[in-house]
Amino acid sequence: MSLTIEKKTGAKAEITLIGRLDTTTAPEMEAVLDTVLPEAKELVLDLEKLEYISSAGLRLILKAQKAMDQKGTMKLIHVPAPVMEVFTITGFADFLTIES
Amino acid sequence: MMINLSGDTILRLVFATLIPGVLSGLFTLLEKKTKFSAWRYSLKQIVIGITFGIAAILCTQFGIRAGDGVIMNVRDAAPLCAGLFFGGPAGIIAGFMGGVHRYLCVFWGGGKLTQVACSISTCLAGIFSAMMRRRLFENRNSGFLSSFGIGTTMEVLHMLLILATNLRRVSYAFRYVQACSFPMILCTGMAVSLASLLSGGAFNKRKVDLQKKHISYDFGFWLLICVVIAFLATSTFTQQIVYHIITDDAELYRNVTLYLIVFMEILIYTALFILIYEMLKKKVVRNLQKVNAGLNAITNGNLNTVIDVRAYQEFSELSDDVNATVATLKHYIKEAEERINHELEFAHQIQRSALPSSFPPYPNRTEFDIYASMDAAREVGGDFYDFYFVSRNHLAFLVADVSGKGIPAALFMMTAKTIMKDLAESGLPVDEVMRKTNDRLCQNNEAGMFVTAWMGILNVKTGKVTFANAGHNPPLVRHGDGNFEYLKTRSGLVLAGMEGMTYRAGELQLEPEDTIFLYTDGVTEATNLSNELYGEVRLNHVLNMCQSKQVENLCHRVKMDVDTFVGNAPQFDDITMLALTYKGDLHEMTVDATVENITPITEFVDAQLDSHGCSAKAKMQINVAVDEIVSNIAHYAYPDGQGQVTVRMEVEDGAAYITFMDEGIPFDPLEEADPDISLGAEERGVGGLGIFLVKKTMDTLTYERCGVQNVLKMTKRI
Repeated sequence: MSLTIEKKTGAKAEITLIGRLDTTTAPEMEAVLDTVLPEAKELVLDLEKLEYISSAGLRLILKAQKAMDQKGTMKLIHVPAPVMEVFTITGFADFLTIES
Repeated sequence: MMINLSGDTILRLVFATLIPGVLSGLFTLLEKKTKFSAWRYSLKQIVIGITFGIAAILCTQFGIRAGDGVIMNVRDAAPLCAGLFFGGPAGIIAGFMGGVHRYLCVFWGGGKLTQVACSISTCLAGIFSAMMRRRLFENRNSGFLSSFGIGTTMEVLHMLLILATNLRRVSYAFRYVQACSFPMILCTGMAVSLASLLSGGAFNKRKVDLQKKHISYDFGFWLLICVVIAFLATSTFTQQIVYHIITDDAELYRNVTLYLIVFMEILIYTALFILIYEMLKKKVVRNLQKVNAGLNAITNGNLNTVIDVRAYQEFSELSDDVNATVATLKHYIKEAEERINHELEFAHQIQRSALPSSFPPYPNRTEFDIYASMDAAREVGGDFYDFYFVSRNHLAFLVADVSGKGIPAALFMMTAKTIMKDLAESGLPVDEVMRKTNDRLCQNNEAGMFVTAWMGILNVKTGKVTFANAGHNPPLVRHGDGNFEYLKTRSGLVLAGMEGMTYRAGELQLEPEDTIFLYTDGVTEATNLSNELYGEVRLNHVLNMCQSKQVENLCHRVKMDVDTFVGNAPQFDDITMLALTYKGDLHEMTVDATVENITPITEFVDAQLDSHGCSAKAKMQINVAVDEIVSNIAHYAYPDGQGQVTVRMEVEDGAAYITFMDEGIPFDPLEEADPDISLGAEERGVGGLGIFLVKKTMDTLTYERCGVQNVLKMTKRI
């Protein structure tokens, strides 16, 4: 049940998630967001290697989206099908910027 | 009978008496104050010897006439002084010079009467003084009194020799002796004692500690008293008795005197013997016996004995030395004990760290319950237990007992344990594991250690156990509601006993709730103070009596019973036991409801999904569902603390049925309203998303409140 996070901070920030974003790994992600969000103007989340996401993960993405809405843009790229399905079911797909 | 000495004679006598003393004083001064002391020893001895030799010669040449043809001198004093106060070699040189000269001087006028006696006596004076200095006085100077005694005794010998060498002319010789004895004896004695005063110990070999409490001094003193008394007794007796014999018959007179003297001497010497013996016993032997008694006490184990014999300086020192020795030995013993304790501690650590000690070891494996314990004896006995999965569904479990104690046993235990695990994990059947372990342990087993072991491999799906026994105690098995019974099978030889041994694999079928109990002989051979053994019967009995069926309680019960039985007797061997209950393939697990347990629960669920070929997508969705539901229970079900959650799972006809049960506050997740997913990011709350996801991804989701339990069931086609 592990999560590896690669990040690039700065105005153009990038976060790459590898593994599972669930209740146990969510705190790690939250810590990363806290370091990235302050400076970021454009945030890109690369979810290519994300195996699954639970509601804890959804909460964090919502938090990030709300924050970036204030000062810039956020987009999600390479979203795998299972994750996409979750976004669709929960209606997140409607307000997230998703590029394939 | 003394002759009348003229004043002139007396003067000359005095003068002659002083000479040896003066010479001694002179040499002493030379030794103390001048470079004379730096001369080589042999040279000094020669010089001193020659000087005193010359003095002896001069004594002979200038003998003191005492009228009536009698010539006296104190020649013997010279070599005596040389030998006693300056060194053996000097004395011998002086003695021989004087003696030879006296012998030869008959050619130019020396008296023939005493020629032989005098020369012999002078030579002897040199020799005796050398011997005395070395033996009796240990190369120190003799004191005033001793010197006087030596001088007089030497002259007595001289007089005796005169008589003895002139037995044919006994009356002539006797006249001489009668006249000269007293003055010559007296003067020689005084000459030597004077010289002892004047020579002040400059040539002493080492410092003297003349405390009165030295045993040699004290013994010598009393011995002197005894001897003097004996001498006085003899003399008085002789004087009185012999003088009163009245007869003209010279021969008769002689014979009677002889007899009288012999009889009297026998008596006196016997008395002397007894006195000396008693003195020796009292002063020396008794004190030695006291010391020995103390030493015996120490040998018998009382190392705190103090020897306190203070009678004399020597015994005082002996006591102190013995006590110091014992103290040193006690110190070494203590150090050795501490070293041993350290080693024992190490052995304990090795043993402890090697055995799996956290229970339950596989919380997500619900097919069995297992518990094991090992209580080490003071001298670690190398018992061990072990268990591990050798494949997904096969659990190996074993107990073993290494021969021997201490660190060697602990290390051998590590080796055996590792080899067995290695072989078992490679997938070999249990009898092959034993066979190969045995062969490997036989190599490099110079210490000749061996280990008994009972190992089983449980198929957790079917409950079948294959096992092998290498010289170990038979385990106890309980089937269903029956009693525990010993599983006695033929066992192979102990491991590491002999190469090439083979082992037979046995089979045992366990149904759910069947229990197997393994142990080592530390249990059955536990001994109480009356030397009784705990025994197999008691073990069987206590297991049957135990109310609880929990494996941990079984082991604790047995341990308690053994402890009660043993009482205060020391524990000689490790007490090891392992209990395993087969639960069957129940697919249920109960754990604390914490987010940390999401992982083991997920693994538990995944295990079954995998074995039924679940699709990746469904598996992911089920994982998410488990995550959400367990998180919920963990966070909200037990607001006042913590509780547990039970997860049960079945797979049937291509669908997974998962049930979550908790005993928390009533909560129906299905009552929660779905979040409005049409809202934008701004307006969205975070609540309810989890259950919403579950509802949407699972095929069915139902809730029920049963008594005190929340029961949430979900199904999903896989």
